[in-house]
Amino acid sequence: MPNDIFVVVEYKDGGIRKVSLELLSKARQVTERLGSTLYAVVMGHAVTELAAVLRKFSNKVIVVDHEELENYRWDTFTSVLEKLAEKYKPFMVLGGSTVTGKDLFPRVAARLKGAIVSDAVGMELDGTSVRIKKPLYGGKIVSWVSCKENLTAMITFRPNSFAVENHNLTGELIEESVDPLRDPRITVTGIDKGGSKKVDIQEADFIICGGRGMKGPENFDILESIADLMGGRVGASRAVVDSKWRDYDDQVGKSGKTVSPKLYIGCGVSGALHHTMGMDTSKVIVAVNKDPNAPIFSYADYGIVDDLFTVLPILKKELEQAKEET
Amino acid sequence: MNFALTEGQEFFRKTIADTVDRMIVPKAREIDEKDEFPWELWKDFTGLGYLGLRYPEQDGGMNADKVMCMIFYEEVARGSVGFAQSVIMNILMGTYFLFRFGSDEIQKRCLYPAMKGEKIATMCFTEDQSGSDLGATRTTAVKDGDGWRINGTKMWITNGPICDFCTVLATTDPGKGLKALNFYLVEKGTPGFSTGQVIEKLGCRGTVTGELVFDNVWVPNENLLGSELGKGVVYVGEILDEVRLMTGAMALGVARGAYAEALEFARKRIAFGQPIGKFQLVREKFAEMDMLMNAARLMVYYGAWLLEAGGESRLIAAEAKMYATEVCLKVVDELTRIYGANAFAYEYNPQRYFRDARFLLYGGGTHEVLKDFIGRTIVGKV
Amino acid sequence: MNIIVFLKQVADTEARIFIKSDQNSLEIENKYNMNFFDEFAVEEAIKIKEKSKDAQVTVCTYGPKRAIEALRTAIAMGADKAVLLNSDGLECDDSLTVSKVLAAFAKNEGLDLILCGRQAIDDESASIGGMVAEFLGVPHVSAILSLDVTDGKTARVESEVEGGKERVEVHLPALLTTQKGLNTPRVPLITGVMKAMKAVIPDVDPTILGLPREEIDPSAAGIRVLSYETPQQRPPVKILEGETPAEKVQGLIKALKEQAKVL
Repeated sequence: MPNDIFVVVEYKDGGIRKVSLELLSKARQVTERLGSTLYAVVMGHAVTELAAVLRKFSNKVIVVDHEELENYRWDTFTSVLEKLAEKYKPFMVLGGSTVTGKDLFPRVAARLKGAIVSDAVGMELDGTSVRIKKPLYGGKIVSWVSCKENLTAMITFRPNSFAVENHNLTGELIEESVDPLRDPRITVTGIDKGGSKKVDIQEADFIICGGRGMKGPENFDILESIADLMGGRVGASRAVVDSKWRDYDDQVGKSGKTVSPKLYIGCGVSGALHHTMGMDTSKVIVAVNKDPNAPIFSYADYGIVDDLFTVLPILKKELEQAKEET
Repeated sequence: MNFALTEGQEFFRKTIADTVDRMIVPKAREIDEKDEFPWELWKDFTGLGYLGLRYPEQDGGMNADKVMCMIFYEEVARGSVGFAQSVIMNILMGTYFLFRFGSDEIQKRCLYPAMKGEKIATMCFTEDQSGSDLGATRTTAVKDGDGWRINGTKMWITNGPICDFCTVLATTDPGKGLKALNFYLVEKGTPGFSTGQVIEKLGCRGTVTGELVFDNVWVPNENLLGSELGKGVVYVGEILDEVRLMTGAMALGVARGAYAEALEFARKRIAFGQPIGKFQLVREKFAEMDMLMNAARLMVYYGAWLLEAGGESRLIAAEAKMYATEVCLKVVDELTRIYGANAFAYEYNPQRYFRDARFLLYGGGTHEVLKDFIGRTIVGKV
Repeated sequence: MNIIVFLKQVADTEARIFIKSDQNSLEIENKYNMNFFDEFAVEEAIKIKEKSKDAQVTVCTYGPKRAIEALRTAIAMGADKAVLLNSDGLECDDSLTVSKVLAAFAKNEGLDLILCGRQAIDDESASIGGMVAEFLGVPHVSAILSLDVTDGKTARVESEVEGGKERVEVHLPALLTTQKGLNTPRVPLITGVMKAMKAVIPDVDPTILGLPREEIDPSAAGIRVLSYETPQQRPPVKILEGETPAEKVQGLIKALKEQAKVL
C-alpha cells in the first residue's frame, strides 16, 4: 500500500539489534501521521520468537522462516525481500547502515530499480513527503534529500540515529512462506566469528578511545575494563592502529569506523581531523589530554586537562560508583 | 605568456606530493630528532627511481624538464629538508660531473648505481677557509704517473661521511686561483681517503654532513672529470643556476610546510572564545605570507622556465635563491608567532621549520656574496 | 583475464567545502584524490596482473573531466588502460544512475572480474558495488580482506561480515568490493609516472554505451538534494577545574549525569 514502511530487522545472539528497534520507533512516527502500516520484516531460521518483541513496535510483523535463511547471504535475502516488496509494495524500506545492510540494500535496490540512500542519520516528514538527512564529506556538510516518488526508497541509517521508543503496539504476526533463491556461484567455505560477544563499535552507546598518548598497547587494559563496565567498546586513533597497538577493527575515523555513540571519551587522542571526522557526531564528547591545546578540545563538550594515567583509574572508580547508584 | 603547468607537469606535481606525504612526512619528525641517516627510507624512496630525475631516459633517467625538477625539489623539501638534502645531492651536484665527463666504466660503476640509490654520491667544494671563495681552495692535485695525487681536507660535505664516491675540487696550482681548479672522482676505499669530523647541525638534521680527508690519495687519469684542465669553474657554471634555483625551491617547500602548520593551528586554536584565525592580526600574517610565497614561487619557476628555454638565467637564479630563502625565514618566523609559546617547545613542529630554514641561507652562496655578484653584474665596470 | 576497476575521484578530506548561497549546491576546493578504498582495488588488480601473464587491468570512472587525474594515478601504479566516462550534463551522484552506466561499460568491455572500493569517502554510500553486480547479473562479495584467483575461474576471498570474517568461493565473473587491510597500495615508480604522464586517456560519452539517454539524464535520478546545511556547532568545551585529578573527574561525572544526562 502507498505510504507503508518496511523495516528490515537485524538480530544477533537471539536478540533484536538496537538499530532495528530505533528504525521501528522512528518509522512509527511517520506511519502514524500518514495513516499507513509499519511492517517489521524478519528473515531467518527459527526466528519466530523475535516476533513477540517486534509486535510491540510495529503494526505487522512479517516473518519468513526458512532453513536457507539461517545465515545472512545477499542472494537468498535479496530474493525474499524482493518478493515481499513486490507483494506489499512499501514506499520505503529501511535498514541499518551495518555490514549486512550495506551489502543487502544496494542489491535489492538495483533489483527493484529503486532509489537508494545510504548512511543516513535523520528522517522528517514534510506534509506527506519524507526528507532524509545524510552527512557528506565526513560530516562537513549535511544534506537533505528526497526520493523520487514512483520508486521504492531503500534507505539505510547509521546506528544510534534515533531513540528507541516502545509504542506498546500489538502488531499482527504474518508468516510468509517464500522460497529463498540461492546463487549457485557462491559457496561459503568458512566463518570466523571474531570470538567476542562485544557490541559492534558502530552500535556502541559508549566508546572510550585511546590515542598516541596511551604510550603503548599494554596501557589499553584499563580502557578495556572501563568499556566492559559501561557495556561499550574501546576505539583507537589511526596513529595507534598504524603502530599496531590495536586492530584496525577498533579504528575510529575517516579511514576506519564512523561512530556516533551517546558518550565518547578520548584519552590521549590529539584530535587530528581524520579522527574527529569519524566521531564528531557523537552525542557527548569528553576529552582527557594533558595538552590543553590538543585540537580534540575544540570538538569536546567536556575536557579534563591532566595526566591520563592518573585520571583513568579515578574515572573507572567513579563510573563504577555511578553505575551502582542507578 | 602562459603560467600554467602542463597536464603532465600537474600530474607529476600531484604524484610526487602524494609520495612525499605518504613516505617522508610521517618520518620527518623522527629524522630530525634522531639526526641519523634514514637508511630504510632512503632505500624505499630511492627505489622508486627519482634519483635519475634529470638524466636521459636511455640512462635510466626521467629526462625531466627544469620545471619538474623544481617541483620535485620543492615537494621533497616540504617533507623533510634533511632527507631532501641527501636526495638532491645524488640527483644533481653529486652525479653531474660523472654524467658529463665520466668514462663508460665510471658511469657504470658509479653514476648508474647512484641513480638507483645503491651508491651515495657527494661533491666537495668547501674547505675550512673557503666556501664561496673558490679561488682560495687549498686541496691540491699533482700529476703523478698515469694519474693524480690529491691532498687536502674538505668541510661541510653533505653525505660526506657516508658517501660511496665524491667529486672533489682541487687546484693544480694554488697561486693561479680560479684558473687552476679541476674536479676528480674519488671512491670509497681508495688508500688515503677517509672521513673526519661529523658536524652536529642546528637544522637540516638527518643528512650526514662532515669532513673528508684526502691524504696522498692517488687516482688514475680517468678520474679527472673535465675535458680541459683548469676549467673546473666553467663546468660548475653549467649547474650553478640550477643549484641556486633548487635551493630556492627547497626554501619554498619548507615555507609551504610551515605555512600549512600555521594555517591548521590558526583554524583550530581557540583563544578568547574563537579560533585565532578570526583575529585580524593573525589574518594579516596569512595575507603577507601568501603574497611573499607567491612572489618567491614566481621567481623560482620563472628561473626554471628560463633555464629550460636556454635563456639568460644567472641573475634571476641568484635572486630567486636569495628571495625564496628570505621569504622562507619570514614564514617560519610568522609560524612561531602564530603558534605562540608552543613554537618554542620541541614537542611541536614549528621549531624544526625554524631551524631548517636557517640552513638554506648558506647553500648556493651566502646572500652577501650573491648581492654583491648581482650588483656588480648590473652596474658593470665603472 | 579482463579485470575492470571502477574508481571515483573524491574531494580530499582536507578540501574546504562551502554551500553556495542557493543552499542547493556546493563549492569544493580544488583538491581531489582517488577514493581511499579504490586504491586497494587498483593495487589488488595490479597484483593479480603481476602474477598471471594474460591479465589486463582497465580502470574506469564515471565523472567530470578532472577525474582523468585519478585514472592517471592508476596507470602510474600499473593499470594497462583507463577510460573516462564523461558525466558532463548527465546525472553522476545518484547511485542508481551511476550503477547503470558502470554496468553498461562493463558489459561492453567484457569482464572476468570487477573490483571497486567498498565505499566512496565523500558520500559514504557503499551502494555502487552491489548495484553494478545486480545490473550485470553477477555475484558480488562486499568488503574483501584477501583474494586468490590463481585458477582464473574462481575467486577465493575472505570478507568482512557481521561480527567476524567469512571465507567464500565465488565463480567468475564476479564483483568484489575492497576493504582496508586487503593490501598496501603502492607508491608509483618513476617509470609508471612517466607512462601515466604520456598516457592518452579516452574521454567517452556514456550515451554510446547503449543506455537510453533518459536513464542517465539528471531527471532520472532516484534521489534529489533538497538543501545543504552545515552541521550544528558544538558549544565551546567545558574544561573541568579542580585542585586534584579526582576533583576534575568528580566534576565530569556530575556533569555527565546532570547536564548531559548520559549516565
